[in-house]
Amino acid sequence: MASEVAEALKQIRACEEEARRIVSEAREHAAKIVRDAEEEAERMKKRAREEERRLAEEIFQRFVREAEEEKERFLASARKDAEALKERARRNEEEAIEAVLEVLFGFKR
Amino acid sequence: MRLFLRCFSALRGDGGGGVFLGVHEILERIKNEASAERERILRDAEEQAKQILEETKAYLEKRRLAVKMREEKRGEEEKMRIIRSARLEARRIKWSAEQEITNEVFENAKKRIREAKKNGFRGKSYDEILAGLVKEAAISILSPEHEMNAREDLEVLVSDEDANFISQSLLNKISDEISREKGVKIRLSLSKERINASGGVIVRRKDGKVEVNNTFEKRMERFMPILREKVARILLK
Repeated sequence: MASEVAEALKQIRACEEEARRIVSEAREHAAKIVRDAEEEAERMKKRAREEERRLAEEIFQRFVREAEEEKERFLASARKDAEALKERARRNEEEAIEAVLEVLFGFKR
Repeated sequence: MRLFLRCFSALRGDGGGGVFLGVHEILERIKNEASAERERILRDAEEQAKQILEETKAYLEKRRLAVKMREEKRGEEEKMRIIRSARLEARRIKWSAEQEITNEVFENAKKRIREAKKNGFRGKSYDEILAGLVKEAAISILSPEHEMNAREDLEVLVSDEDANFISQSLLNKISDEISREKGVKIRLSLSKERINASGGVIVRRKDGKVEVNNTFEKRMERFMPILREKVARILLK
């Protein structure tokens, strides 16, 4: 009987040892799962930083591109207006020259 | 430790009878509990890992949105800056065109002085133009307090080229006109001193104390604000 009990206890201890090993391995595995997740999170953050830099540049450049297009439209329109203005002004140039001479020659002030 | 205590308490509760069966149950139970514990630990870990990744994703999404908003604001500001500068540049282009044509007018007016010396201007010969400038300068030299019947001696200075257009008889005629119109005695004479000007005259008192510069350069300078306004009005009408 005593030997049976001893055998039973031995089996139980071995089983408990096995159980502890299983649990311990599970904890190690669990720690690895969490560690992997943390590492993956770090990788995601790193990738995100790259992506954010790219996104930031892309957004900024989009606005700059739009602005440059608008700027070109403004300037093209201004250049066109300036040419039209010069053309219109040149039609009156003779009159303007005479007005200057009138003042220089003392005809008018 | 927890598993061991449970097993021990199970043995004690058994009271010694049926130990072998109990042992199998205990072993089974230990295995089951270990297995359950293993499953729980792994499930928790999976859950924690999932949470870490989800939180990271949420955090990154939030950060992405913040970056997007920040860059859109920065981009919008840069766009406004570029457009403001383009508007200024557009105004500068138009202003330059106005300046260009206005300067052209002044340059051409200067060239036309030479032509006026040959052909006159608006039906007046160049010597008549000079006479007008001499008269205007002489009258402005006369002070309102000028004593009646006191004689004012004035000299007229011109360039070498314009000396050909002014004669003493012309100056006498102008003196007579002024004397008649203003009731003062005035004597104009041509100075031997020559000036460097494209045309026009300087009239000064003989004592050199007062002079009126009616050269074209000085008149251009004096009347420039009015002239620019006048020219712009004519050109842009």
